[in-house]
Amino acid sequence: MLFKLAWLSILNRRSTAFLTIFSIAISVALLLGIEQLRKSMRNSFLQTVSGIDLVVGARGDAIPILLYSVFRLGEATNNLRWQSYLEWAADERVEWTIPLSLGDSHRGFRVLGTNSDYWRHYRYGKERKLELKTGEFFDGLYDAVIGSVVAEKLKYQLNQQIVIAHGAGSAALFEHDDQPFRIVGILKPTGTPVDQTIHVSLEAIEAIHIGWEDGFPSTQTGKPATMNISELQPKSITAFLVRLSSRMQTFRVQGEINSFEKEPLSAILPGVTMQKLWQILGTFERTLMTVSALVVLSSLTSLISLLLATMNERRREIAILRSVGAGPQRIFVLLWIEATLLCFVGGLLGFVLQYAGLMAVEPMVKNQFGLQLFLEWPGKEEFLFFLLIMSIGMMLSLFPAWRAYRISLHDGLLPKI
Amino acid sequence: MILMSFFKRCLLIVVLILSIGTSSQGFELKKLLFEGGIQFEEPAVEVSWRDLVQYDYKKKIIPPRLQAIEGGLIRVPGYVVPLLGDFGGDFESLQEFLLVPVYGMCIHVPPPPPNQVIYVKMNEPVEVEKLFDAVWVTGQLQIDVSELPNTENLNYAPEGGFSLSGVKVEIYERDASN
Amino acid sequence: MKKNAVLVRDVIFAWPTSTTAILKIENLNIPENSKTLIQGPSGSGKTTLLSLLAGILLPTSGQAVVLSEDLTRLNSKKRDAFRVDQIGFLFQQFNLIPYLNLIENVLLPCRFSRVRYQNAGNTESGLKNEACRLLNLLGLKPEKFSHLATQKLSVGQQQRVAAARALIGNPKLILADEPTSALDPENRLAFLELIFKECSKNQTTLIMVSHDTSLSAQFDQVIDLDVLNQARGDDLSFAEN
Repeated sequence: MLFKLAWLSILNRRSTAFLTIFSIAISVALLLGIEQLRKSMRNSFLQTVSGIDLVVGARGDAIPILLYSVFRLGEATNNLRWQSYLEWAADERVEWTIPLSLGDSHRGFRVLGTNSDYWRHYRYGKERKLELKTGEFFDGLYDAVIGSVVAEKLKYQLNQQIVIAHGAGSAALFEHDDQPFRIVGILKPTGTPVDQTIHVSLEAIEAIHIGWEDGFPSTQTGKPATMNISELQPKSITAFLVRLSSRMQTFRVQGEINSFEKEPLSAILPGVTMQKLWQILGTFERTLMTVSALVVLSSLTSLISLLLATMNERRREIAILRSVGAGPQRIFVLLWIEATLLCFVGGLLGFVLQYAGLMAVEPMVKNQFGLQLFLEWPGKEEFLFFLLIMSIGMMLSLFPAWRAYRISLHDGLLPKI
Repeated sequence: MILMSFFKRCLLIVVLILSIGTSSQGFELKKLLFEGGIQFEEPAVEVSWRDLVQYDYKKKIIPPRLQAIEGGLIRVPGYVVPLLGDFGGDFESLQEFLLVPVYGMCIHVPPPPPNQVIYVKMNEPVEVEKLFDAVWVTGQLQIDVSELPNTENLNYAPEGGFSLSGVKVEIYERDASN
Repeated sequence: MKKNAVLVRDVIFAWPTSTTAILKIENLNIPENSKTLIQGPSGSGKTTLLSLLAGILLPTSGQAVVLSEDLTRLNSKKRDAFRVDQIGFLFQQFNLIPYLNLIENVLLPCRFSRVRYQNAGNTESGLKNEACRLLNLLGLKPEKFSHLATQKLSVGQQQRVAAARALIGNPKLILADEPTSALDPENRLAFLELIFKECSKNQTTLIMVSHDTSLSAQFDQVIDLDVLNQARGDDLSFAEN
């Protein structure tokens, strides 16, 4: 009975309450959405690469090495010599390696120099290999294989010619335009930064930098046709990924690489480094969550103050209810139900809004960062979060209910209209 | 009459919801973080690193204390060094990791010797959110393992090490010995 | 001898926070089945008296027996139940709950009282029929008006709905607080006559307070509150309880 009364009362009031309900909805959507986004980003980071035991780069900090080698974010300050790489690749404890050469770009997308080990060994997600949508892996010197987002955004097709720019900026100030590349393969989408990468051979990277010893193009540049592929042995690479035959050797090998006398190198444990990254991000995320939690609280309290403010108008209604037998306790419960229902409607709307918002944001995140958002059906945690917000709303609802109670006691049949 | 109990019922519901809401969010996940896999009849033997360090990994000599527990279910504390395995699709699922006695060991020189590392492979991926804290890992212990498929063809003799088929991970708390 | 619907003896009422007596009534008898008008200018305590009779307020001292129930002996919940079971109310204006339709407004007491629910038909459809019957009796055709929002009704129409609500379920007593004051003078008499007719039919006691003296001829008993009420701003601070 009281539920019905409360519901009808809300329906009657819907135009005034709508704005406050909407603000509750938005704030709840924000709070829940941030949490979802946070978990989702974690997942997409974790699924970027699998099965790698060590990542080795020139001596430096672990997080930047992880970021530029695996996630293609940021730059390395130094390269490491090809000789050092060969020595470690040949170590008996190493099962396989993937060399990576970074530094160039094409219209905002990173260019990665690597060899066939990349296609053979790179795994992501759940043991998923890199697969071609069309074409083939590179064979010739100026062959390029591009990721799905590159193809989509720049509308590239097979056999298209592209020119690589020096450096990572999107405005190509120095281009290797004398040595264009040809697209021979387009990869299937992976939901990882691979989608936004243009892959070429290590030799090709060497070729386009001939005559660039000073960092600028010199007047004599090599002609593509005349270059001997054997001359194009890579001299240095940016980093390499390592898989060991025995994980138990991880610390040993890592320690030895770190104390390698011939060149200063840093070998990092990708799992641990990612954890460190989470720690840093965690503080930021927690701040964000706290702020949005406070916003939820403030929108709930604005609803409550709206109800309190309009309580005066309802004195007559309360007197009528008293006259037909509703005691002060019943009035209390009625108002409490009403306020709680409003919070509930707002929260439910927010819940739905959150999913709508995330679905809208998903393509943007994919294009900007190359990361796939893992949106799932609401799980236990989301519901509990929602319940927590609702229970706070329920507690705040006690205030207008209490006020109504006092009014009904005090006014009796004499409401002060 | 009916109303008073309705009143009380509502308060009860509020309290209930609040307690459920807060107990699952932001608390430590219960002490038991994961349990799965084969069930063993005998209880797990608690092992300390002091025992494990006795193992001579170069000469592959296993002291009697470790011989007694080899192959059986043990429970050992340590810090987790996650290895990047396959992504199971769940949030932070982890299947393989190394267990070391000292936090931050992986960044120090020299690296921990093989008798201070346990290679753990869980039977099922574990959802562990707070790997920065110490944990108890329960599993079946294997010694003298080198995790290599066949060691005859190698040019070097791989050193032995510890390996655990993990069944349970719990949060470590001060009550334990050690 | 006819039973008394209302029996008030030596009642003194003062608001809990004050020591000035607002009401001091030695003796008030209202027989069953009668129509009583309590007259007095505004501010003379008419509504306070009604609140006492309804059990919303309790006398500071003295005895108030309504429909054979000693109100001072009932706790507040029992008084609420008593009120809805036995008493129908009419306020001066703004009698309707804005978010309920006409029928639901009329049926309100039945939602809170088992007795009145049973009296009015004991089933949902029975209830609706009874509500429509009363509305028709009072000159409102529910089919014509039910789709209108309650605020769109004229004051006269609203009062009729309120009267139907007071009457539904055959309460034994109807307390009306200036129900005609908001109506046009031409319509007041007609309105009263409708209520009188129903009350006679169901043997309902009617007690009405008003400052309007023109209606007194219709009633069985007219009581002047100024005469009845002997409180003259007495200070109770030294009075014994």
